[in-house]
Amino acid sequence: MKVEEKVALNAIKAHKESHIVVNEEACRACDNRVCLSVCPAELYSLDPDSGLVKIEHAGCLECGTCLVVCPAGAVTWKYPEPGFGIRYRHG
Amino acid sequence: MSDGDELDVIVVGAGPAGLACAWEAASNGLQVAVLERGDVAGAKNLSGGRLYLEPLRELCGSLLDGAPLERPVTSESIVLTDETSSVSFRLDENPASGPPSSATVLRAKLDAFLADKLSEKDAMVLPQQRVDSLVRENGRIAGVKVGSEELRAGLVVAADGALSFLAEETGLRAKRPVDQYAVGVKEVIELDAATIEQRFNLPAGQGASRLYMGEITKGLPGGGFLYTNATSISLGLVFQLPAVREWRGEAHLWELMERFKERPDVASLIAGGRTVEYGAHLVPEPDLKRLPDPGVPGLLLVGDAAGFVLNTGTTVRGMDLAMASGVLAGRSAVEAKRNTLEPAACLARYRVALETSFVMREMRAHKRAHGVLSMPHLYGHYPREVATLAQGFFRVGADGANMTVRQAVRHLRKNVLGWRGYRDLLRFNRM
Repeated sequence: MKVEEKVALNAIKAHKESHIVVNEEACRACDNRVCLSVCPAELYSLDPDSGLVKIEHAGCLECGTCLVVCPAGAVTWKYPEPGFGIRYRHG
Repeated sequence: MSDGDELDVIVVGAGPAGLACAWEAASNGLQVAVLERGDVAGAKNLSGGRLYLEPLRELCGSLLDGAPLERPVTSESIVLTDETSSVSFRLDENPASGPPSSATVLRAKLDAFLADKLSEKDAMVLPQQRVDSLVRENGRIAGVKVGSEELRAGLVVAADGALSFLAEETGLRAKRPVDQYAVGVKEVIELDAATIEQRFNLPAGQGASRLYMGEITKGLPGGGFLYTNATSISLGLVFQLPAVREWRGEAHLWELMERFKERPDVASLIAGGRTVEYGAHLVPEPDLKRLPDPGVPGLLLVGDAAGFVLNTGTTVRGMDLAMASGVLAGRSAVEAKRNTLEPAACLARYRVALETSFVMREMRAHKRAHGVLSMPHLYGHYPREVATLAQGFFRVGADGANMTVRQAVRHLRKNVLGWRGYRDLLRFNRM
């Protein structure tokens, strides 16, 4: 199974605005980029043009791992607006 | 504790900790509201899937009567894995005639059930209420802010889970302590009841738990778990975050989950099953020395928010500690209201209640487990050596040879009981 297929199994209502923001300056200075491999939904990717990390919030499982693990402290993460985000049907 | 129409208790978060707290407080006549950011209780909640019921029997009263338990666990396994084999230690108990001592659960059902129970006590869960910050007044917490609205209460209970932004806001916990967390990923895989019972060799209605260690996490501190539900399997991996941060592996975490599922000894258990949900959640992995004080005047921390999680290697506990701490916080609120105690006195009561209950007793008893379970050898070297030894005992080679005890001891001396092994053994001993 690919990660997109896994995430697609979930009930997620994505808000148009991202609840996760990556601070460009802090991100640029980071050589760890653990976000790229650790996000369970693989929502972080490297933009080849800018060399910066991009986040696609729509499939977020709301675990908060990126917020805790980012060594650059570049991730601003809040809970999605009420009525949005993942709804675990099994948990 | 309160005057006029102010609430007695605001609970933030409708998980087992918050709901147990609300139940206890409301059962004793307090005015309680539970604020939940999800659409319903449980919408944002995920756990591995096993609840230890025995310690809650007395504390929770009738709260868990009729709870949607998936299967009582009567079959326990620890499975050590290397690249080509696995070695299991399995305990099967005869199904008891009495109530189960632990059971697998799915949180959407369990949390919704607990939330429903509150209505019996005239308390309720208010969904889609995201608490943004705390209200402070005269050196205490006096309520919460939801958007532009301010809600006041005699006591706020932070049951807002592993991330607990409220604990962070009070300064009780440092911001983002990476060494105090693990991440768990989990799939719920549907499979019919008869197939589950057949594959795990279970009596009808009984359940199995399997904890995996070794190759499956590619040597990273952490492990795998498998719990049988009524008609599904909860399968997942957990990784300690500090090691993940330093890991320069070629794979994504989710790919390790796929490889776990593809192992022949796991694939045969889930074959024909259909994955219906894929989730991830942080797990507190607290170091007792750095456990936050369980509150500030006007605010008590319960469950994951307080860091009440215990992984001893053979048991992984969170929900029982969560519900117990919730009940104790509820009791402290009731005492505070009855005796018109100051918020600081209420916190002091809660602290004592925790210390004299199994919650802190167990956290202290296993205080070294976290350090021991961070030893990298546990996840690569030792499981591999155990597998090598087991293979040696069970195999007969082309030369007709089968390992003798003498050879096994020599192998152990050489590969396991070196100075490093001796040091690890000492640490184990102290655990």
